Amino acid sequence: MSVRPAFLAEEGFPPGVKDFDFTSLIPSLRGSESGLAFTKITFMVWLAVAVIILFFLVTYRSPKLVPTKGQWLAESVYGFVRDGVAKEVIGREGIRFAPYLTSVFLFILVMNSFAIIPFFQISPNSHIAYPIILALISYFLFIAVGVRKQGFVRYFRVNLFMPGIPWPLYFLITPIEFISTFLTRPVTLAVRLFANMFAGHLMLLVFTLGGVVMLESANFFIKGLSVASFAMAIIMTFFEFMVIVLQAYVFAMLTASYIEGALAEQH
Amino acid sequence: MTDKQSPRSTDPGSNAGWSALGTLLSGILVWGGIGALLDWWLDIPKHIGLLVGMLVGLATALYMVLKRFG
Repeated sequence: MSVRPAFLAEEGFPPGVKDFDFTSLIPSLRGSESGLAFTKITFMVWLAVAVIILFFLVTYRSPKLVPTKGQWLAESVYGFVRDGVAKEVIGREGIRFAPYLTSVFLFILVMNSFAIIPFFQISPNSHIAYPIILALISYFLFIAVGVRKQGFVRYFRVNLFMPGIPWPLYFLITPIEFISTFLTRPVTLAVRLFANMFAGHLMLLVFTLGGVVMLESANFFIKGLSVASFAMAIIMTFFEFMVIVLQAYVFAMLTASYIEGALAEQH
Repeated sequence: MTDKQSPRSTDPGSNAGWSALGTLLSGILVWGGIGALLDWWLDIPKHIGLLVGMLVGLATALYMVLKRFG
């Protein structure tokens, strides 16, 4: 094992899972279970909810026929999800899911954005609990939509038993159908969002902390190279911005496509 | 999982592609997994259960894709 200089440990390098743990913001509750209910992470979640509610309340307080700037922004976000996601994927029936899809899209977008906003610099979605809950909501929604549209028995028969094949093959096919429709969907939905935000945060930590560590090196050459590390941190921040928007869009898009599958009469 | 009779012209066919890929992958994974479990449970040597399971899964998944999109 190579010897690690002391300053590496001082700067918290290399970053690890410990960087995702936050102590309670209420000092008296620190270390207790209930203290974990109010950390930087949960604060950001409440903030995201508040920001979204306020945004729509303020921009829609007095809607005008010729929209103001704020109203135009709110309308174009909603319009984008309604036309670009709901109508595009689900069809005309999709309009009634547009409010849910817009909420999910905006919530994930704001939560993800904390990853690159100064002083927050970590997304709540890099804790898997939040993506799990979001994925479960979408999961139960698309099952409920399918059951309501086709009836309990028919919905599961359509999804688990492909029509028009000889019955002994159901022994082979039904397990595949069950796992791919009812198991991998919520898991991939949650893991995709979580892994993207987790990896993004680690990536930024590696380059930023790495830059700091290199700057403190005694070797002049390594000191100079820290510029490259900081430059990469900036480039990765822009890359992270792309991932943030993309993941919010992908989550809404996949939810819509699962709803479309549940509404379809047959496959 | 889109229906072929769908009148929408915007469907680029990528949906069907992803769904076919998903079927192939999950077919191999599901039956390979069941085979691996059998290996572990019955102490079958040389991963024969896993191998047979993956082949069965692949064949089933191919059949499903051909049936659905063929």
